[in-house]
Amino acid sequence: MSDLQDMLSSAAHERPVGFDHRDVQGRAVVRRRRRQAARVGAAGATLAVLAVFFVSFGDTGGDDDVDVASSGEVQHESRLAGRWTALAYSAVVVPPQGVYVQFDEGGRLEGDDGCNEFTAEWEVEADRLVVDNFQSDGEACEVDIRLRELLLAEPQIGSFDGDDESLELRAGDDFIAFGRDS
Amino acid sequence: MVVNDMEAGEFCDQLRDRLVGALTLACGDQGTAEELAQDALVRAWERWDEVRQMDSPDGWVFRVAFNLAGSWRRRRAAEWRANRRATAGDRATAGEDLAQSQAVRKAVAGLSDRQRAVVVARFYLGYDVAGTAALLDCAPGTVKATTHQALARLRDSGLAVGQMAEEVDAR
Repeated sequence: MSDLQDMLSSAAHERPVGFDHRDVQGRAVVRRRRRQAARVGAAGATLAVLAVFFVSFGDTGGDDDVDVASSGEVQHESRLAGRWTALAYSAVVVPPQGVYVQFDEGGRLEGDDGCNEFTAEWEVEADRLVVDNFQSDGEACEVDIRLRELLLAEPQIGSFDGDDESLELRAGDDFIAFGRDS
Repeated sequence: MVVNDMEAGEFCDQLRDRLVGALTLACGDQGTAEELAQDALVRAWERWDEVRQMDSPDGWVFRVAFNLAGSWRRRRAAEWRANRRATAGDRATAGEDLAQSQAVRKAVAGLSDRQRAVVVARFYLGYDVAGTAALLDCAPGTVKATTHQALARLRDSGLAVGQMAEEVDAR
């Protein structure tokens, strides 16, 4: 065995592969159910917020203890859903036009970093955005705003002026601030 | 739907061994490779209508798999190193072939993420420069340069990469 190809072929398997398409199909079903549950949870969180509003409005001084904070990830996911246009960057002073990200509730992310369109998958873990399967056109950018690097760095989700119309994604010193598209 | 499921199932089973092999080289152990391979195939299954119409459905899955492997490596690097240290002694006693496989995986693990992906794509999966560039979302020149650097590093680690690899490197 003297060639790299032969060596890699030998090193690539320790034993026969232990799964087949039925396992893959099973996992796909589980993931679909989880996403459906998350969507139901998001709807539930909205109802819970409405419930808090109505209960508070008619408050009689009792202990109405409705904890919506426990569904923080769902709230973040629900809040992120939609299209956001980039407004301010840590990496560049003069940004390119048309930079946006769009979070679909089904877990799909798409956007444009000013020179490449991209797609990915997203979810929220605690207060961080986790992006996976990032795929882009791969063109070299005249102005690199480091959006890809930021998205893949599990950035912290924040609102730079405390409302749901603005969004800041931050990883260390890098950040991009977005405004919600109307 | 049933026809799609059958088609997706055949695609999974046809790709499975090469995918797990590539990920075993990328990650260093087959157990993790099987997990990541299933994750990548699940993503293909979920959007099979879209994936089946691509020019290279295999390439798309390999690309997803390499991305997953990269994420996994970054998240688990410390744990992975600890496990390798803990099990290295056991594996070394299990025979010459296994020892050689371990040496190959160790050498491949010593490459950078991009070098590793290029080596696996070109020398295990058999992609050419253009195919590797498409797979890894980079320029053909980058693939050539990265191949050259990776082979030099493998040689430095004591691996006999052989004449065929030299010829592939030169193309």
